[in-house]
Amino acid sequence: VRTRLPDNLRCAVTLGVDFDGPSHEVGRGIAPLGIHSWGRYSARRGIPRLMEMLKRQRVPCTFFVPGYDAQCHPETVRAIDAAGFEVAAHGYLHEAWDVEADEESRLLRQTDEILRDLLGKPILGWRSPSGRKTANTMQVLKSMGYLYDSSDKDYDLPYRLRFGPADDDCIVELPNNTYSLDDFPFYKFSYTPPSEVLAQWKSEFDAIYASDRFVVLVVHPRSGWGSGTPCAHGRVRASHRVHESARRRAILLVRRIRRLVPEHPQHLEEWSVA
Amino acid sequence: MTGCTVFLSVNFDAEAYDLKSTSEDRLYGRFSYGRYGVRAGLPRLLAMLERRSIQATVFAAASDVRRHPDAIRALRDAGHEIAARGADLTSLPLLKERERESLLEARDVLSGIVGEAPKGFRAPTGELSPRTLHFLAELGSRTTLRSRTMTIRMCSRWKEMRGSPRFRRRRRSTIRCRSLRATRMRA
Repeated sequence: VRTRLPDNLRCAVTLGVDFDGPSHEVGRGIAPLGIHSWGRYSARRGIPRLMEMLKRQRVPCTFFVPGYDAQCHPETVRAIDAAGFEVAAHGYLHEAWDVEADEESRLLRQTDEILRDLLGKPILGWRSPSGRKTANTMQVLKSMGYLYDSSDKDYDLPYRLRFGPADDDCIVELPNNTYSLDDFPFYKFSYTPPSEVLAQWKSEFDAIYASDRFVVLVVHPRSGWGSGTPCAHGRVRASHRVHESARRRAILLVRRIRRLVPEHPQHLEEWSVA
Repeated sequence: MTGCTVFLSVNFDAEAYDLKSTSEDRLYGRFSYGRYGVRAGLPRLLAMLERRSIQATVFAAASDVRRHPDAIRALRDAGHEIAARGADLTSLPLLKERERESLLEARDVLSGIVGEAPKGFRAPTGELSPRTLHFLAELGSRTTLRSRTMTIRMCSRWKEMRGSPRFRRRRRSTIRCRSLRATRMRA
């Protein structure tokens, strides 16, 4: 069964912001100073700027936060939550390397505890830092009550990812497109000007709007390689304006998943990796 | 009018590609692009080719063919040619004395699933050893294609976006598709 979004839903849009603060450098054993201080820019300028814009435009958004960054910048993370945005988990030290199962479970639980204690509410989603994950990851997330994972790049629509034989061994997967709907490769590797990034996102949006109706846009507000700086930020804002009418009818899927999945499991395709 | 001969090829490169960088138990997240090829990229590409009545050649590694026999048979049934691309995507010169065995495996796996032996071959990573062509001739392959310029990759990977060649490549493939259409209109 192919995933079928509800008919009354013109297009589901999930906007995800990867917090990616100093955890990035610290995790690699680099002092987050000087040229390596881009992560602090995210916490001090990029995140607040994006939040202000999203609030003004009334666009719902999910912020994926590494546990270490939440410890360094608790006020920023509280402000995200207080403004009504979702806070989800994104590794502890933005682990961009393979981690053994035991260590991985420990890090997942540690970050969950940090965010939960900080906000006083359960965390529902996770996105892998650097996109690494294993079958063990999903088991741990599920055992902590997580509803969804947004790390795989293997499809254009949300689906239920089956990782074991038991009825409940399923987690909702919101696959994220890390090539054309992510600012990172454009700014970090191709040095694409923001105007071209915007053109690319617009055409992706138009194509998706006419077919699968599921858009996942990922931005990183670090300086240097993200959408946090004023010019790039302006482009993100413009991309929302362009599709104003579409945006009004779009919803943030994450919020509805909680209702959608238990009530209409047939809406989401099941895909087994067990 | 002479027109122009256009050869449209597809590198199947599914999990075999991700497995160059990771192990079977880690085929998720950044190593799940291959699955995208099979679940999302291939059906979209197939529909486009069918709409335009274009026949393509699909190069597939034996390990991917084993993993996705139905997808390969569907490609065959849609009139596309299935050609060989090694046992997995390991560069042939690295295989040393196992090279012939690997090419034989590629041929046999494809023959078993497609129903006939592959006639064409494209080297994984584009590299051939001095013995590759001899082995292929011995194993019954007729043509060898090393050109990567006309490849439309199913798996777009951000790794390939380093520098700007990805964009040049994409522009090039767009041009190829356009000239293909022009050819058909002239024909």
